Amino acid sequence: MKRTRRTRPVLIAATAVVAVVLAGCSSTSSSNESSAPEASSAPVPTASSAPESTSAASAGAEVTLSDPYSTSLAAAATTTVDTTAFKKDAPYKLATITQGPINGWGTIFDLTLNKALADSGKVDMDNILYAAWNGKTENQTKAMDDAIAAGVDGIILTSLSRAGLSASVERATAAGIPVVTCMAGVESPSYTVEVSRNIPAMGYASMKALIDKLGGQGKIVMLHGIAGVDAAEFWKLGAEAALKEAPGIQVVSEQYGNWSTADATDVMRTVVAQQSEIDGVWVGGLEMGPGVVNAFQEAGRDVPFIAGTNPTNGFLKLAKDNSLDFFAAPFPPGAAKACVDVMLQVLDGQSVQKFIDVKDVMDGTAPYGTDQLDTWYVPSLNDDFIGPLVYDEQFYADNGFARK
Amino acid sequence: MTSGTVEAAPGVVVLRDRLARFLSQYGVLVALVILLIIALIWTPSFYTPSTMRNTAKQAAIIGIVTIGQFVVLMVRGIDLSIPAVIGFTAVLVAENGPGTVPGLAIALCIAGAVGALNYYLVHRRQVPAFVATFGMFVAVEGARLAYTRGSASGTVDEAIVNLGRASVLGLNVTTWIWIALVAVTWAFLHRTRSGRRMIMVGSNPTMAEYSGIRVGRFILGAFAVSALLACLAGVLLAGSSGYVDRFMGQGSDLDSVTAAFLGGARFAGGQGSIIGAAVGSLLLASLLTVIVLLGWSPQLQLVAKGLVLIAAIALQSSVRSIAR
Repeated sequence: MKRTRRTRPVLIAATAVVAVVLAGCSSTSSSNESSAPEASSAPVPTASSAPESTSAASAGAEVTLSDPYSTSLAAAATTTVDTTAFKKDAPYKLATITQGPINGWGTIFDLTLNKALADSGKVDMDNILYAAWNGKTENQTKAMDDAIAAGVDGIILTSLSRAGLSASVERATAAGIPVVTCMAGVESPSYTVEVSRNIPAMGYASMKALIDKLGGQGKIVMLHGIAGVDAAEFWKLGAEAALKEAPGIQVVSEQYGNWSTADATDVMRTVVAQQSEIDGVWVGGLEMGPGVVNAFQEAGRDVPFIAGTNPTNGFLKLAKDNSLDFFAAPFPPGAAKACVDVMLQVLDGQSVQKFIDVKDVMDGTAPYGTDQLDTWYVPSLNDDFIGPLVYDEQFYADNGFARK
Repeated sequence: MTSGTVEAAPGVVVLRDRLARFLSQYGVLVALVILLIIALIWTPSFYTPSTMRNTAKQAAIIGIVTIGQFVVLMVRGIDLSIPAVIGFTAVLVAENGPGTVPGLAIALCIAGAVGALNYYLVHRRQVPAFVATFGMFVAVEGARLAYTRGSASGTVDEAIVNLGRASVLGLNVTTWIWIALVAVTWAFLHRTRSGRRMIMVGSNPTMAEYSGIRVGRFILGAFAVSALLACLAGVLLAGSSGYVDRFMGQGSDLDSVTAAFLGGARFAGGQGSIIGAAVGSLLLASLLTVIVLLGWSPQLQLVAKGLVLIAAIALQSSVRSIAR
């Protein structure tokens, strides 16, 4: 018995190593068989129609994809919601449940949201129920329950878990409270209106621009955000759909950079050192752009064409300073104002579409390329600012986004 | 029941015990050698000078904070506030901070205060180190958020970038700093009376107290060293990346604990080898590079990293028990 106890940990360790090696072998062989990236847990969608344009410089070349999320958005975009049951007299008592000011995106979102609410003159600003995600889905589900218990007139929700907040949204709707999901929705169709970008379509449009730029032939690297996070996986899903249509594109490396410059720099250093030929880089979250650029510059190589999503002001500055060629699909936090506008329409009993794509109601939110850099880069604001400007520059500068 | 208790021949027992003792002392080195052999067979491009230099630089950042974590583990503590100190330091030395020199001065003050507060909570107030340092992590992160107002990104002063990227004799300056710090720590622990006392404080604090050793001083020293090295790592990481964002330092707490454990450190204190911890840092960085080079899917990379580390520590633990 003594010997058995002693040898058991050795066996466990050995088994673990063997399992990893075998898994790695099978993965390596499968990735060698095809140039396309490995499928994610979600089904890889296909485009249901040809893109409107094949030019990388032409903004907004988006299509409706065939994955369940995209098809549900397409259906919602053609659905009109009767909101007469929600009609109330101002001032309104609202709940705003957001990501919170943990980064530039979340801070700009909250600033814009609060200013839009205050400027409307129709909201009881002293009694807004505000809750931030702060890394926990439970914070948002609890806030939803608090809002229902408080009998608010409406809820603006940026859901950080599509599955986790579904039941909460259903409870709110059952209680007669309209829910406007803003820039991040839920799986349940119970929400009143979704105001957002078509997230997989952003991945598709940016990857399509890269493919077109390369003429459908070349070696590229894909850099994703955080594994398992909705935005990262949906962008990936859209990018993979575009790749399916481009057999001449070879993905030589696919990595997660965790939306961190340091992590992106580390993995890209290794990839750049290994791959002598990289024709383009697709980045699911251009806040990792500095890491990509650093890796190429450190290696003394030209920075190739970069395509991706969510361009920060920092990335645009980098693009300007280094004359980079790029294509970007914005994911604007300033859309919070559009969400407020829609909520006010709902509480006024006006009919609204169930899905409103932000690019149809805000300038500067459709995908754009290098030729529009000067239009959307804001030199007076710092790297964490994410455009487009919804209010004047001074407003953002006064709230911590001034470039020092 | 008797079937499992077959006695081995005396010669086999001696050989097994010697092997176990060898692996107990040099297990992490053996694991690194195995990984390097795997790299040689499957990803020879690991051995290009630029890849090796980059891997060594990455190991150096992990390694510098591991030294701090190692000395804290040596006195029966753990420091989970490391990522917050790295993150705050990086923000302070960024160009949108108060300026490089004032930023460095403030960062040093913050690190000193964090080290002192960790000591006060753990030693004076008897708060478990896990809770005290995690609380400190949350507080410092909150302070950073309040200072940056959620806007932490920015480029870094050229002098710091040059420091983070400069090379001497083919190795990055960061790597040389790490090597020097490992040598100094080894010399302190094994060649000075204070070092030996520190090991005694970790091994048996009660006996150390009875022997007239001021236990509190060593605990204060350990937490201060850990915080100051985290501050140094923040500066070097900012310089190496050339850009600062809110994720700087994230994961360095677990990486440093893992590397220290690979070097033989344990929560029981007074154990481990600083050289082994340094090799552990090198193993972590090499593992990441090899996995990237192997082209494994991103999902599998995380599984592989976790399993290999569990395997390495489980193997080391098992041979330790045989050696005993």
